[in-house]
Amino acid sequence: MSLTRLAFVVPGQGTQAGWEEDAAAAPRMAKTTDEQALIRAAQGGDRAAFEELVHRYDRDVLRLALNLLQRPEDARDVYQEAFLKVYKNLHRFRFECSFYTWVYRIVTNVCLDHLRRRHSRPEVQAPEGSIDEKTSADFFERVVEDRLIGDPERSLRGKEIGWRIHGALQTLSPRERMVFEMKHYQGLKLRRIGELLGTTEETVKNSLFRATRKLRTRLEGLL
Amino acid sequence: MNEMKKIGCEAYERLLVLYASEELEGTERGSVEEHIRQCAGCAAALAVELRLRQALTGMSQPADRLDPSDLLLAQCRSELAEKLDDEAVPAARRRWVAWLRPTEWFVLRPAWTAALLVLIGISLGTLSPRWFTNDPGPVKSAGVVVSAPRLTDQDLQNLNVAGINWVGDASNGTAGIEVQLITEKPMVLQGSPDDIDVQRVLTFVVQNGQRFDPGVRLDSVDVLRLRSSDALVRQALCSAVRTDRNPGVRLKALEALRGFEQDALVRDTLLAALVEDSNPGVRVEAINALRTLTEKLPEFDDQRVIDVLRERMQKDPNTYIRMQSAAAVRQLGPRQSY
Repeated sequence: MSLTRLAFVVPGQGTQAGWEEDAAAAPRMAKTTDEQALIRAAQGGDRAAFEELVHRYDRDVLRLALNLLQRPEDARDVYQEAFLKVYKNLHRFRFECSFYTWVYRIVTNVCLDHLRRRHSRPEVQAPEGSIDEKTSADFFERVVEDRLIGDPERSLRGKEIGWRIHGALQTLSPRERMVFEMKHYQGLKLRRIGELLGTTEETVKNSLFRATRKLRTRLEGLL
Repeated sequence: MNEMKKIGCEAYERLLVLYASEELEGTERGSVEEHIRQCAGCAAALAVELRLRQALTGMSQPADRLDPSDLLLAQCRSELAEKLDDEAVPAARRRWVAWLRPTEWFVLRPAWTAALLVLIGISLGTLSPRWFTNDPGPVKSAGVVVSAPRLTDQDLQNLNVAGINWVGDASNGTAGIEVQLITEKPMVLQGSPDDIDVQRVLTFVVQNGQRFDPGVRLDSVDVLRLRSSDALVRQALCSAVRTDRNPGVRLKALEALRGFEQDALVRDTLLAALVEDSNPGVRVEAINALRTLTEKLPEFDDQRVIDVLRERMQKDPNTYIRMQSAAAVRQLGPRQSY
């Protein structure tokens, strides 16, 4: 399966945010105006407008939380906490950045808090240990790509890589994990990730570099 | 020369990561490509980076397996809507309660507080003898309205409801409804479930759910279910099924419509709930209601119902609902299909 690149259309950002101008500029402008109207309506207390805004972004938010936290109950907590914060702080949104950026700053902060809590209090994580452990087989079934099934040798190798990658991802710090997720699974550019995390592109590069180095070390011999 | 090459390779280690991540452009990208053509070590390192990326692309993402059919998303949306309900209504109620709660007021205005306490003391001293001597029958607070002046449409638009209570004894048939209204002047509306004003307020509540507390909406549906035989009440309940943000209210409204599946509006509402409602519990209730049609209409022949059930049987993300739809098709459809 190809790596999913979620196409985040960010209204009102244009080249300033690193987005390429394209032929869809006119519909995007319309969407921007539409979104601004929705935001203003939501700020005025219109629940339907707020829910429309939520529905524009919540699928990607839940996906980010599920990929990062890997537990539906935690992802659900992140979803609720993040959007309630958005709701309570909506009156503070001043259109100084895109709504997407503003929402994602909140979401990534909530995710990072959850990851940090888990980091400092590791509970039930993915099964650790060697490939021979009894528990590993089930876990492989979950992480390996479906198309590998049917070719036993490839499947086994894919499972082993999947298992090792998962184990390696657990060794990353919450911020490294976030950068890695946004870069590799959400297909965002580093500059954009910096904006969303409220930091510089250079800091994000450092995080990505450290994360890659850790993964390389953990996966030595397999790659 | 070797030392220079070593330093150069260390610098490239970082660039290789960015190159493999497709983050380099222009001269930096050209520089990396030039270097790996000449340096076997860095070419091998880049190959490792690219294999790492390839391995990552070969993995399914946790989100794909944890929520393959968006059930979790639907659940999250539903829960968020409930929390927003809780957030919105208590905000109005908090203002109301804050006005009633004297603590902060007391702290900020000690002189007025002292005067008020003296006044309360005098009032208590004056009135308490009467309380002890008079018959302690039901005392109506000021502003109580008992099935009295008709509420205007404007009143309905402006009112809020603080609570709905049963009063009296249901076992001996004297039960009534007490609706606590928050208007310019708080008042209590009392009457039977048949009372025209009581019904108007309750149907208004369920039809304008976004303005009222979920608890109040649930209580309204609870009362209205006693009068589901009334077409206007059914219309309000159908509106709640289609538009209320709280799945609990939608479910209760569906239950209240039980027994009226022959009504075209009710049937349309059940079909809409089955197709559009994000909550599996509500969809199950809609199927159950539709299944009763055969008992009530032995000559049942509404092809739309069968078509919707067939469609749900194949497309509903919830396994149980697909099974129930199949069972309902078997129950309702044999005359057409088998």
